[in-house]
Amino acid sequence: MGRAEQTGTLMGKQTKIPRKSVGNILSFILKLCIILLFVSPFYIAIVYAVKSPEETIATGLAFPTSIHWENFTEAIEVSNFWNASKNSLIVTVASVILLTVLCTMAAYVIARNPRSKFYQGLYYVFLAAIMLPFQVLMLPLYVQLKDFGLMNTRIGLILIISSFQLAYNIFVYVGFIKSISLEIEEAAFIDGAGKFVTFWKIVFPLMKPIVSSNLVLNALAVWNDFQISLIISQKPEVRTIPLTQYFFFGQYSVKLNMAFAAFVLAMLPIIVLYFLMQKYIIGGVMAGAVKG
Amino acid sequence: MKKTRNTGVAVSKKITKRQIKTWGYAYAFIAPTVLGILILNIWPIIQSFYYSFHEVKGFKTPEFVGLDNYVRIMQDSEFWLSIKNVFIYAVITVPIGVLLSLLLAVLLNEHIRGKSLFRCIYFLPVVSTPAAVALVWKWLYNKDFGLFNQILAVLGIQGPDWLGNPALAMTAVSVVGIWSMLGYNMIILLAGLQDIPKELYEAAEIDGAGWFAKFRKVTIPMVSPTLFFVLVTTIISALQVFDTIYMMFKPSAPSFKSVESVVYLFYRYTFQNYNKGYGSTVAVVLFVIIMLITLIQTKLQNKWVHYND
Repeated sequence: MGRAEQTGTLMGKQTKIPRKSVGNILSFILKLCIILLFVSPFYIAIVYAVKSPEETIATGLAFPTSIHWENFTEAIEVSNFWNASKNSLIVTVASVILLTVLCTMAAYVIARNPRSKFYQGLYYVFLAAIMLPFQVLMLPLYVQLKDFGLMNTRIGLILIISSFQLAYNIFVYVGFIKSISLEIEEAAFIDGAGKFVTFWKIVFPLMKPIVSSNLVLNALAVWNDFQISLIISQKPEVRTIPLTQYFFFGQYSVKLNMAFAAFVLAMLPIIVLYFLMQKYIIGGVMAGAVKG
Repeated sequence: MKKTRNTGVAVSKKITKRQIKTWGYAYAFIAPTVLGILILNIWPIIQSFYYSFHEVKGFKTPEFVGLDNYVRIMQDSEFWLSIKNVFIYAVITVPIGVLLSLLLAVLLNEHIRGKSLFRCIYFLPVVSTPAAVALVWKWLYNKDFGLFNQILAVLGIQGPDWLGNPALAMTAVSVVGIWSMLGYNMIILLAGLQDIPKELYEAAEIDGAGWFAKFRKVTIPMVSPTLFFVLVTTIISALQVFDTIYMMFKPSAPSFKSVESVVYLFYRYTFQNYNKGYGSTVAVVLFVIIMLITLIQTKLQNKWVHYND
């Protein structure tokens, strides 16, 4: 429990007065340069996205003076943006709910049975699965999906993408649940509450910090996935946003401004989510790293 | 809670009976994920090994061919070329990427104004959709209109065809790889740095240690477990590189042979040439190579990683 909260407080404590030495100023300039390097691809994408073709040729990467919304409206229409967003949204929301509900429950059982050989054995199976590289599983999964008629379906995509996140989620949740004190659960047990009620009414609410950061991390991983979707969603109507963007750029690389408008649209939801939730995301990555 | 202590002994018999009943839930709790991991992760890996000993073309039934696929892979120049490519990619991206991440983390670990803003922006490449990022970079590298060559043109230099030239393509992809990984590694290393007790630095200062001496004698050893984790995961993902290369290069590109990664080769063999048995062999061999490298690193860690406990 400590880790997630600890990073939280560390983040709050940043406004100490800097020592104004030459070294500090140098390191500040260095950091600014790196920021420029990190932000410039996004700047370029946005600048191209809001300019007309004539403006692009005339002014290049200069700061835009006006916004050509028609790039966006055209991109939305031509790239079938709403359909792709719908697919991305359904796949992401379903996977995240599935992962949160199933992994926290499984982790609870593993964490609360430390002496059971059976559950600890299962835990090691999950740990080993973290290391499996995607491509070793891809072909058999592809054949399985075909056999079950799940190729080119959102359900197929949800199942496969989630399965690759399962092991990591369980690993992180087990570590967290172990740090929650048993006493409250014992009290609930004496009062006659079953394990199901105990878990959802008592344990799950206590897991809020780790659940929220994992929620965002899972959402990012699912929303941004390219490799798995490339193989499962081969038909245009089930393509998610990253795939749609990729094929769209192949077809419309001549209409540069529209292509970049499509990129900006693709990145926008995730960037907004990131800026809103960045404390949870970074805190979650840090907490996961320390446990690992 | 008081109730527990007072009646603890008395109810213990009852509990055991109820415990059996309540832990019936345990199976229900854990069953879906166990099924998921068995069907979608464990069974497929067994099948991959199975396929690698078979000839599987199209939807015909697999035909047992023994070690034929493995013999063939040893003589497959395309495979060795892809192995060479991913090793070059790893040799470029891993040391530079990890070192830069560590330096960034050290810079951000100092007390400075706007630290969370810096951290937030450095992490941005990690969250942005890789498909979009790769394509923006592809555009930056464009021979005629790309930003890099426009800048060079201002300086009066005729810019090269970054992605088309076999000698430059790997460097160009490596830059994208480093750019995308920095943020993630930096955040993880930062978590490690924040756990170093301040007293150690104070003690080193009393002994007259300068910035570099503190970095080498305090920071590196103290952060070494995290550094080890970062190193292992970065090497693994470098050897499995696919997305960026797939999005930036078509097999028809003149430089394709100098950037094609093992996973790309696997993808082409399996899903474009429909040679599933042989494709699986490529995946299995890469898996074994990754396992071996990780194992070697785990063995070597005693030499430089310091664990406190």
